[in-house]
Amino acid sequence: MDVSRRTLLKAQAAAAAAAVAGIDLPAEAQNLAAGEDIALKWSKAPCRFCGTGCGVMVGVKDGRVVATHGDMQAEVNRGLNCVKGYFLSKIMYGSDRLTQPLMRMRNGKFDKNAELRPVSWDQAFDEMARQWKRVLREKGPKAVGMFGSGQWTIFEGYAATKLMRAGFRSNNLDPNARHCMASAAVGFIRTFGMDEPMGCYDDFEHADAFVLWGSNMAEMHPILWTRVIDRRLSAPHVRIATLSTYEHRTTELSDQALIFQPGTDLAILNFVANHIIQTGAVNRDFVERHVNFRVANTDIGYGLRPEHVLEQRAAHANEAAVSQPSNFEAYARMVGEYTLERTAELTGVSRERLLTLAKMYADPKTKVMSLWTMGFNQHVRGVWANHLVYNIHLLTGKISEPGNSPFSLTGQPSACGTAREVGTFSHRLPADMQVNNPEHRKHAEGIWKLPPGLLNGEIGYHAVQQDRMLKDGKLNAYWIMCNNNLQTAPNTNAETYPGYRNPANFVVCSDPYPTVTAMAADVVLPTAMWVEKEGAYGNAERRTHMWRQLVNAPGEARSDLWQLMEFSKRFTTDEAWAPEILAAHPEYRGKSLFDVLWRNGSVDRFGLDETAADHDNVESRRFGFYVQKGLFEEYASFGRGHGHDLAPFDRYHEVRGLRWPVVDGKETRWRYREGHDPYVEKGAGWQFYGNPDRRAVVMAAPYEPPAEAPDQEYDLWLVTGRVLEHWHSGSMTMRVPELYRAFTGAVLFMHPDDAQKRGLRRGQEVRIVSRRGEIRSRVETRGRNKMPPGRVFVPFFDASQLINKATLDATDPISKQTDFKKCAVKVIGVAMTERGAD
Amino acid sequence: MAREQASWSRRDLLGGRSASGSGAGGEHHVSGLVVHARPERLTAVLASLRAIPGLDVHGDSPAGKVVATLETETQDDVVRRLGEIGELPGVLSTALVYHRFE
Repeated sequence: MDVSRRTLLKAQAAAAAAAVAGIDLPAEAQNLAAGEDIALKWSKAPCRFCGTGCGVMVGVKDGRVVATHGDMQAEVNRGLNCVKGYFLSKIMYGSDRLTQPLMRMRNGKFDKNAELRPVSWDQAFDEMARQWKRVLREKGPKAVGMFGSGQWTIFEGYAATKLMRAGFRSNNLDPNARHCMASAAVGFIRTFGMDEPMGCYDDFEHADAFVLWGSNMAEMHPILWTRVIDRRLSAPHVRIATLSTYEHRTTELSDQALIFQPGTDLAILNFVANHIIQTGAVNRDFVERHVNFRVANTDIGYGLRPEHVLEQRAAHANEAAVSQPSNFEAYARMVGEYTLERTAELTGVSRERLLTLAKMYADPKTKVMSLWTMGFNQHVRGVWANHLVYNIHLLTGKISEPGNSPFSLTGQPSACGTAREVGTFSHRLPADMQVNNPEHRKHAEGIWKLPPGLLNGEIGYHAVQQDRMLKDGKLNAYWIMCNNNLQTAPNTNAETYPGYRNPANFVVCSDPYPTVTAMAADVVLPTAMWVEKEGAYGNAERRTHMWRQLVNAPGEARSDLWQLMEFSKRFTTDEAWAPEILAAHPEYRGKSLFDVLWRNGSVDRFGLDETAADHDNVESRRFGFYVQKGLFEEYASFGRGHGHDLAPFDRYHEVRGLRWPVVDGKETRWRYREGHDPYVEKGAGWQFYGNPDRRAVVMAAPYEPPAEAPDQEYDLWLVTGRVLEHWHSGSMTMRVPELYRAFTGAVLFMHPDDAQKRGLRRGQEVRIVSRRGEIRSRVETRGRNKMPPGRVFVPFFDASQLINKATLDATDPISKQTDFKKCAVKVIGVAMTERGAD
Repeated sequence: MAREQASWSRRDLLGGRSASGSGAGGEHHVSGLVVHARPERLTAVLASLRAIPGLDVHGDSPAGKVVATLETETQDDVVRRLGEIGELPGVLSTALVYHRFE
């Protein structure tokens, strides 16, 4: 390359970076758009990975995504990208992309024990329909189920919820988001009567203190971390405190790190509340006007199978979610037990650090943003942890205003938009409505134009329960979409895999890649991903954003939306619905589910002429109407007018997302606060209007120990999680060669003393063994995660080291979310055992 | 219609095939980076950055932000260098803004 060309490219790169950093460079470096960029067609899309919701610009040439860069117009990331986002253009082009349906076949027929072979869509759907009908006939709606995703588009989640609940009359629909933020979602509903954060990312620029409770933000939400860092450095009084059970990149960059004994964050939270009360820092006026006190049932078990000794022993395993009205005095007495001395002893955190933390919250002049992800949510007392942090913000009135913000971060791009807002949980309907509430079901039947009484009021199986019921042969026709559950579910060897291979079950998996889950299924459907379809996601700050279809999927791959709608054509109401409903409403007889669900005069009311002229739309072309717009507008009618308002569909294609509720065309940045939220009445100050009396709940709950702790034999705590380069189970990032090579295989992070005690050297192969299963890995005593003695960390992205063979399927008994952060293992050198065997 | 094809085993499909091929020789990659350093350590960070092969510093700000370009022969080197920058003492974050190769 000649010198002038090199200089030009460097000048462009520098100019782009300078624009993002807000730094002026000399004038010759300003020319960003090079001539050949015109050959690329650029469009906006949200990133495919985490819940941050960065905007990216996607460059397409000859029907292929060839470039992406951070979108300068996106408020979330302002042109920045993390290393995963940087390589987004490559996630669709892994060499092992699935391009045609596969089915286990022998002699031209389905055989569960045969190998997967290519088949046509018709063959795959015919067999699926035959199996679904058999199971519905023999066992009814309770025996069919679906495991969905916080990575589904809003349209896909909505179509899935309709097909499952209205089509098959089953609530056995749950998203993988159950594994990642069910505790947060349940915590919101129990505290505020409405899901999702009150604040937004704008809080980053207003807070005086950031407290990270169980979040390694520098690695897992790197772009949001840049906003925290910007604030910290531009305002010298700002402080960052990070709580964790081990040291990592974020604790290293914080002003203060509090490394605590696993599970004892509950004690720290109650200590902070106690400090606030003892030092007279309670905002009395706020508490009197806006807060109710309740006390939670205690000794609630660990969400294990009911015959497990820990469940048998627990006093309230079957009443885990129950709480009673209480008052400030009783609450103050309960948290009064968490003195500085006792808390320091229980948690292992120094008194000085505990006090510094408590003072941040207690000082009325310090605006505090609390942030958390899996450390809180993947916790056998995850709902309590969420309650306890709200307690602190409610006692001090530090909520719903710029910089004062308890903020639950999410790990998936549409955990909020799809899993929560659309309501793809086994107990939920759209817009925070519940399946076991007859009024809510009636409302849904009205919007969906279905006969009254059609919807099933029984709460379905949640994620972990689905695995147990598959294993027990009670859930028999099962569709897994847009997730890799065999790799990510807890205790997979004992509780997940046996259900997939149970001869009584028929298991379908839709995925772009041959994940371990897909390879264990009976039918594998090749899926169109990300910009291969028109889509919409909702990020962690209530921002709904959309994108167009930019390229076509390879081969016969089709989107989950296409699959769900196409499959519905194979059923009639007579085959899926109860005879008494059809007898009472004969006008629904003999219709296909496709007709009653989508050709209902509502979903099909926008014509193809409204689709974008310069973008293909495979689903709309197939079905003859603007599918995404019809689904979105029908869905939006659930939430408009009562606090979940979404803007008109077309507007989302024009803007970089909008934060709901969108009222009179304006988004809402801080909910529940007068002057920011149009739903709050004048003179009220705050109104937590999700609850009938418009008050939020302070819930008293104590510290209770984890389900399993190290003992003499299994002498180490195992913590699992992610690394920067890989996203979740790695099914996309492991196929980007650069990311794969940057972090090729999982390792066991361990303290050097723990390694030495066991005679292990760095890099040595080891067995990681729990009571449930074991894997092999290699010892790492240096690097980004620094473990305290007695604790080890293993990331879960690596399909060749399935650490979830070792984890325990203990869940929060209220949210049913698994605790992936705390179980007991032992670590044994492989060479040593082999010597022993000689 | 099912085409005749060898059956797909898990071993064939998982992982291995995806990791093939690194950037061929003769490529030239240019990246634009924003590095954020602790302001009090900016001078030291700038010195460390300038010692990285292929890295040029184009500007910085009192807040600790540095605009840099990175030239490498392979895309792997982009990721490797980025990791190294992230590990430098005093560096708080590293973000990619621009990438192009010819």
